[in-house]
Amino acid sequence: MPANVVIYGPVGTYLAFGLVMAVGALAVAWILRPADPYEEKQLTYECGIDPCGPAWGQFFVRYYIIALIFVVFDVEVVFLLPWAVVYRSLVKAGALGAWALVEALIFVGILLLGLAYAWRKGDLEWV
Amino acid sequence: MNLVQYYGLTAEQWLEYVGFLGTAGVALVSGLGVLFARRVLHAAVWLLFCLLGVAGLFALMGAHVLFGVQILVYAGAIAVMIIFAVLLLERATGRGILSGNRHLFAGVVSAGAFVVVMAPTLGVALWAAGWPSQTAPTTGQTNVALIGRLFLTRHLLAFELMSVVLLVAMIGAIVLARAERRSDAEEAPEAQGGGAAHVPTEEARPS
Amino acid sequence: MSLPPVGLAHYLAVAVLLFAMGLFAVVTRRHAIGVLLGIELMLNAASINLVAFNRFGPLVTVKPGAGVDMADGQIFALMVIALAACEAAVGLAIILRLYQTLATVEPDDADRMRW
Repeated sequence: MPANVVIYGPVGTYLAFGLVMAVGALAVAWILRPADPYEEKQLTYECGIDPCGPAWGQFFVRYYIIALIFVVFDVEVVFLLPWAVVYRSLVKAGALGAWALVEALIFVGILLLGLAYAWRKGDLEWV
Repeated sequence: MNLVQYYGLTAEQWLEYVGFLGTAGVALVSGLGVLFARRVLHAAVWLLFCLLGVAGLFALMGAHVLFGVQILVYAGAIAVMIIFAVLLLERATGRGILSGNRHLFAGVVSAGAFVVVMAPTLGVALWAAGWPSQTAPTTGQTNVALIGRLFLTRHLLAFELMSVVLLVAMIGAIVLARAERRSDAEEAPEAQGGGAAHVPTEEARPS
Repeated sequence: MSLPPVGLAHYLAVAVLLFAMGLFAVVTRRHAIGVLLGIELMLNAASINLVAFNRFGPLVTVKPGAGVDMADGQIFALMVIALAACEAAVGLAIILRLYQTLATVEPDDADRMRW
């Protein structure tokens, strides 16, 4: 078995090439482009109308809650992935198959309670 | 595998040194960025790179699943959520959020004391254990199936309880984050106090 | 002269430094989100330790016949990541709340038991 650093060689190469390409493209653009910022140019683009104050105000909590729910279910997926990988072999082996399904259903069910709560309280509504 | 050795290490072990120093260097240098960046947004982005460096360390230790999870969840979701929250706060206040450091003396003393206590302890313990790098019994390869099997057998209770923890965290965070909106929606926005309340409430024009 | 190959000591050293940096951030940062970032660093140091002991430590047990290692330390690290997600979610919600009620984000200013 080769060392892990050898196994991850392609990943490292890929990363290095990606960095070179991205930094290189930005650097070339930075060298070539004309830079002439003035005040009107820096304004937020709003279809030609002068922007008036930050438009976010009260909305940020709503966005944050959506992000939060996403993170929780992201973690859920990470816990379910190993389960899904072994599930088929467990069913074939017979012993643990049904039990494994019940366990995963409990896991998902508990988290669905949270989603149901957020839904019920209107946090998923898009105003 | 070549058996030519330089300073007692094979080429593969040298490569491992290169990988280790690279990833550890990324993690520690971006950790310094987290400590000292003036803008909180920059500190959060430094944290993202630090997490990627730690993911590299996991990869070098053969924890392939954790390598993926660290990038997918930690760097891809948690760090991004933090950056997102910083951006939302910046939009709410209308300016970049700066953060200095205070209590520098206390910080240096506590962090220094930690290192001073831990380094000799670890040194002695590792010396007593015979410097386990040479005696590593395996390459530490694991796969998703092994982790899944352990979750369903040995760590079943932890697996199920984790969903309860996630549920409580989700509901608690939702309650904390939006407590005011429902009760005070019809009242004056000044009830919120602070800078956010003075932001003009005029909505963005459709663009 | 010979160097030791990369082993437990190297990873533990990185973890100690990372933890010390996290501690420093928690103590010194003026902004609550900075404190949260410090906690993330400390959690990462802890999971490096868990994985390193799983990989090199005397606790590595080989499952007989299966040809694979037990991965208890990695499972603990997975738990740490899940808990970090919870901690970041709740922590950020508290910070948003702190900002809305007290208009401050400095932990030192939040010293009232009620308002």
